[in-house]
Amino acid sequence: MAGTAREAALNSGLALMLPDGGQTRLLRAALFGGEAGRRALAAVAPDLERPQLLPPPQRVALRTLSPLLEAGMAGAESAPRFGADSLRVLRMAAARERVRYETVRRLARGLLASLTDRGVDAILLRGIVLAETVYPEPFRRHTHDLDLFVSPSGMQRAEDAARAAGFTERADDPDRLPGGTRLVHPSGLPVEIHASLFLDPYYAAELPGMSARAERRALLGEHVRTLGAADQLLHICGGASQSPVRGSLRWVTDAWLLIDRGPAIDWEVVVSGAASARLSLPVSAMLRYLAEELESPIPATVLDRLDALAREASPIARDVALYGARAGLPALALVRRVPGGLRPRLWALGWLLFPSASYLRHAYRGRRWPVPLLYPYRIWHHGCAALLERVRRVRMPGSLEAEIA
Amino acid sequence: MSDAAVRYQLRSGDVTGKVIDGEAIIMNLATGAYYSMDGVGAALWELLEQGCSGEESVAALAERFDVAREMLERDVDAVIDDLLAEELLVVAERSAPAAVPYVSTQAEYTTPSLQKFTDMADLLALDPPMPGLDESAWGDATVAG
Repeated sequence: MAGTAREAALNSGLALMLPDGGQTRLLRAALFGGEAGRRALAAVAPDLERPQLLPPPQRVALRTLSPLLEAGMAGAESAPRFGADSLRVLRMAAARERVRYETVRRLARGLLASLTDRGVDAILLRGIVLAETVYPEPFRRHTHDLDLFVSPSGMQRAEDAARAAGFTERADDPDRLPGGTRLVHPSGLPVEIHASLFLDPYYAAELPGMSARAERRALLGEHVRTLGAADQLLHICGGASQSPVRGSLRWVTDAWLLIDRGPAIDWEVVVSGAASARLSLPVSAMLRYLAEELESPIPATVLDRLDALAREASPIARDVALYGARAGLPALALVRRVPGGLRPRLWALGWLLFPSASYLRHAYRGRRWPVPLLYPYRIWHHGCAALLERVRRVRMPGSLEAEIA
Repeated sequence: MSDAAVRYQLRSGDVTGKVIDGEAIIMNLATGAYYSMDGVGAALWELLEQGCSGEESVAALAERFDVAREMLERDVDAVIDDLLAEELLVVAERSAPAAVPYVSTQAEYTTPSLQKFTDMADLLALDPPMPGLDESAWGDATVAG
């Protein structure tokens, strides 16, 4: 009985990394085609009449979903009745992305050419790969930055290639990249060079066999290496599970369109990769969401196998996943938002205050203190961080992301 | 008051615009302001963007809409003044378009007006990069003529 309650509480905690009901309605409207798309668009039409009044999570999502919503509207055979204001916002967003993407594409082309010239064996990740291969039109994916994966030994040469393409290190860059390098073009577009696929070193730096499965393809006039479809899916889910900017919902559209329009996914690789990279908890939650809420054609047996792996996850895997689920949220906000009543919230509070010893050793691997000292230290450490964050928000009010937190 | 024979072009580099489903969406990337004109305004935007003078625009619109010439001239003049004041258009030395574009809008005549939006930050993803219109497909229009 206690096991089932714990499981339910864990699922409630992990659900924080998933879109809420309002966001899911927007996603359906942005992604579904045909009659289902028309119905989904009609369902969000009243919400979009006054987009400024939408709850903050939906407004954040709208920033990146607007170009897809606009495409859906243009493609709907009998368009739902949208007010002029909502139509205008979507058109402005699509128009802006169309113009912006030309610059992103030119800078990406320059970077890829520079990598080729220097013979750097890099794998191009995420954004622009998905924009160019699975989105209805590339500009409809808001591509925030360029991401490269290189082996640690190739890091220096990749940095040199990026510098030659005009990217430089910014001393005042607030978004440092742990375990990698982040360079920024004078236009403001960053390139992130990763030696590890995931932020948290608990997850594997690379997926077993991913290099052999990487595909060489022509993209933007260059021959580049990209992850195989199954590895891309794991990377999308694993990355989003730790991301404080998950609210953009790009992970959902990326994964959904990859499954819907990309090359056939080898689900065996997804299951074995999730297990060996220790990603089964977030991946099972995210794929089940895609299947159940957004009708992604993911085989039921795959979901069942991932669930089984998730049930066997170790305490440290649970704590890393929960820590990822609360990324960008203050700890108490997480407890407040865990759905399902008092009991799951108490479990979540317990895990937050007293995570497993193995997790603490992992989280504070730089400190050789006895574990009992790490518990009070952690509370003090997080308390100070929360205080600093609150001060920062008072000084810089008005951010939507801050409102959500 | 604009000169009816003068031609215009978009302010190069900073301004871009496109008519989508009968609505002109115009962006001034230097100021971050967005603009919209629909119906008659969108048709007028297309005419001016393609190099028609105010006079030629009035003539083209008069063929399409059943409206008093004097009123049309006054409305076109007012919109051109707004576009110049917002620095979306600049006076340009350019030749007349080979053929005056056909005004195809199905809209009924309503007084055109330029609507300005400066509060879009919450609703649009505004992270860089943004400049670089000259290299975009839309940017071609800014150097036409």
